[in-house]
Amino acid sequence: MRRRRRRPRGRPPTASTVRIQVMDPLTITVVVPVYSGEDYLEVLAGELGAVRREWEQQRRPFRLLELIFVDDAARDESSAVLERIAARHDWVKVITLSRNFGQHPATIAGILYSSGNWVVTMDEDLQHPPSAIIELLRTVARTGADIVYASPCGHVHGSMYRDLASRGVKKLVGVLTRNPMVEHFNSFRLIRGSIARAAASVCGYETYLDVAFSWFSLRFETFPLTLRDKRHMTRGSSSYGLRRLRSHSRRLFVSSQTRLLRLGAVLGVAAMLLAAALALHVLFTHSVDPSAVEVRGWRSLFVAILFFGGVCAFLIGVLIEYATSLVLHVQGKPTFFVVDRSADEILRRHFEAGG
Amino acid sequence: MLLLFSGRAHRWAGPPRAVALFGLGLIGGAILRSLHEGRGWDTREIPFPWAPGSSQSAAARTVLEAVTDAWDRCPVATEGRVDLVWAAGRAGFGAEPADTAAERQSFACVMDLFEALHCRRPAAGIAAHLVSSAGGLFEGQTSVGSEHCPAPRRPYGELKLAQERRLDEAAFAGRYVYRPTSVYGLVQGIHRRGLISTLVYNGLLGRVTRILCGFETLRDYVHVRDVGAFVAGRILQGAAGAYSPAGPFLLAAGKPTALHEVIGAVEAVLRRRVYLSLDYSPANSLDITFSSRALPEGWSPTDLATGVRLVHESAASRTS
Repeated sequence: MRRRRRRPRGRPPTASTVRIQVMDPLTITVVVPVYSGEDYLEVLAGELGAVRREWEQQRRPFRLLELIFVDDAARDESSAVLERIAARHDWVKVITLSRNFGQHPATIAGILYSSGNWVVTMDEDLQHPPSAIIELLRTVARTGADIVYASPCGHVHGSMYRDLASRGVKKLVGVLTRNPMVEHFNSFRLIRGSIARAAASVCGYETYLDVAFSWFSLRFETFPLTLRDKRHMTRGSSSYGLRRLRSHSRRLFVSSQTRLLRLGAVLGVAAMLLAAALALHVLFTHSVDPSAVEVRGWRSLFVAILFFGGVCAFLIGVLIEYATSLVLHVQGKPTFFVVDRSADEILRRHFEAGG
Repeated sequence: MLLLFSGRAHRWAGPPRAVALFGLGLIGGAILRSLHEGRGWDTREIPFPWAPGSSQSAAARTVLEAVTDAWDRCPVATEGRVDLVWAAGRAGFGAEPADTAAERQSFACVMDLFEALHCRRPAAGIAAHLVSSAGGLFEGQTSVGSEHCPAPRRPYGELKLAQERRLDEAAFAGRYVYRPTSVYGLVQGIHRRGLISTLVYNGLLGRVTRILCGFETLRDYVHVRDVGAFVAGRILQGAAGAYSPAGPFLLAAGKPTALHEVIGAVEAVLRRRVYLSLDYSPANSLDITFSSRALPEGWSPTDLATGVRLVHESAASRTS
């Protein structure tokens, strides 16, 4: 039975790992891509504002530095709502994209405009409770993770089919790519700021953002939360139709790995070896029983075809290997990345003291 | 330093104008170019020594005499206007207190003489434009907005804060403070290039660039052309004596940019890898970012990708 690869567990930071004395509170940026959220944005901003004030009153060692809305060419009156919200709160920023680019590109844009030590991404439609952000931070303190995903409990969309489809695709891709993070991907996430920005800066249009996170760190945890897609449950629709979900799944699969390419290279070599083996077989049978095949020249023609076919397959395999390297280079997968987790000690001490 | 005069040959209307530009480096040079793009000027170069003392005072008096002579020669019987622009910076970001002392005294010397001019010619329009430093003033602070207070952490930042305070005490009405963030651009003959220009220049020549901060260090980068255009715009606008000293003006992109993003942008333009030598220093790795909400009206920063491309074009023409 194949042994499952254990995902790396983060070790909680110890006092000896603290190198930098942090005088200011840790800062958190919240990024929210917006496409059709006119009914929810005011409430969302209000809830995040309440969380911000609560942390200040409780003198937490972390604060909500900024809320970045990314207007992804919203199709309703979200733009006007965002303008009103930003006018009232100086900690709210709005980035307006020139056209609709999609949820992941919009999130990437928001992350690249962030300056927080930690970045939280969440949806516009109140599916993700702002009050749960502190639980994500608590998970970091407890485990030393770089990324914490909210893990939905129960049905998110009120539709068993929709929930099963979503989980099923992720599970399948996770198995095929052997990436332990895939099945836990969720748009409500807490990511270490340096990793978020580094991953966002290498993402192309087709890159699945969470796959890019996994290039920089596999220290992830999940936190169970009850999530409800109210938009889907009340309207029976979401901003994600079937076509977009298919596109989403395709991007997830293509970003996740280059094994398909490598498989092509392996097949090429295998074809060459098979061709060589068959050619030897034909030559052997000819030497043993020259009269077995009546058609003159058949054996030599067959051997020639096998030889050149094998050489072509091998060369294609070599080209595919180079293509794989190019894909990895274009995707931006880093050779290495240095991270500083020393400030996590502040979170650990705070939550251990009952914060 | 360079004196610019509004010459009749350039069809200036109204009272005679002069600009006393101290510092012709990266930012001073960009201001000068923008001023020339806006209008034609007669120029006169006057050597201004950094060492405080009699020669410096004499040079400053020469500047004032040149300005008042130009006013007096003007057939229009009215007082003129002079804009003092301080873009000089001998001390860099990592300067020691001894390095900043000379600059502090030089600025004070020039301010004293222009205040004396104001006393002698109270009807004349005098404005001072100080190019300060947002990075020096707000080092270690993130998402800096109008509500943040300067808190320098090194002598360079203290120098800039002292200069701003000195300007604030000036007797004349026109007082403009510009706080650019991390300025980049390529100027011929300037030995202190800045990170982006150094990366591009070294990248073209295949040299190694020494990096003093972490790859994730956040800064805010603005192209020097934008800074020059904004300052020149403030110099050129407004009638004599009618100043609106709003500000300080935060000249930032409003977009935090990590070093690895800068390196990626440079490599994308150069189409090759850049060689790096990492000399990590925690003191140089503090994030300094600015809120886009604190940017002044009329300020349109160039995006990083375009800015790097502009630097590349300048550098490529010099290295070919």
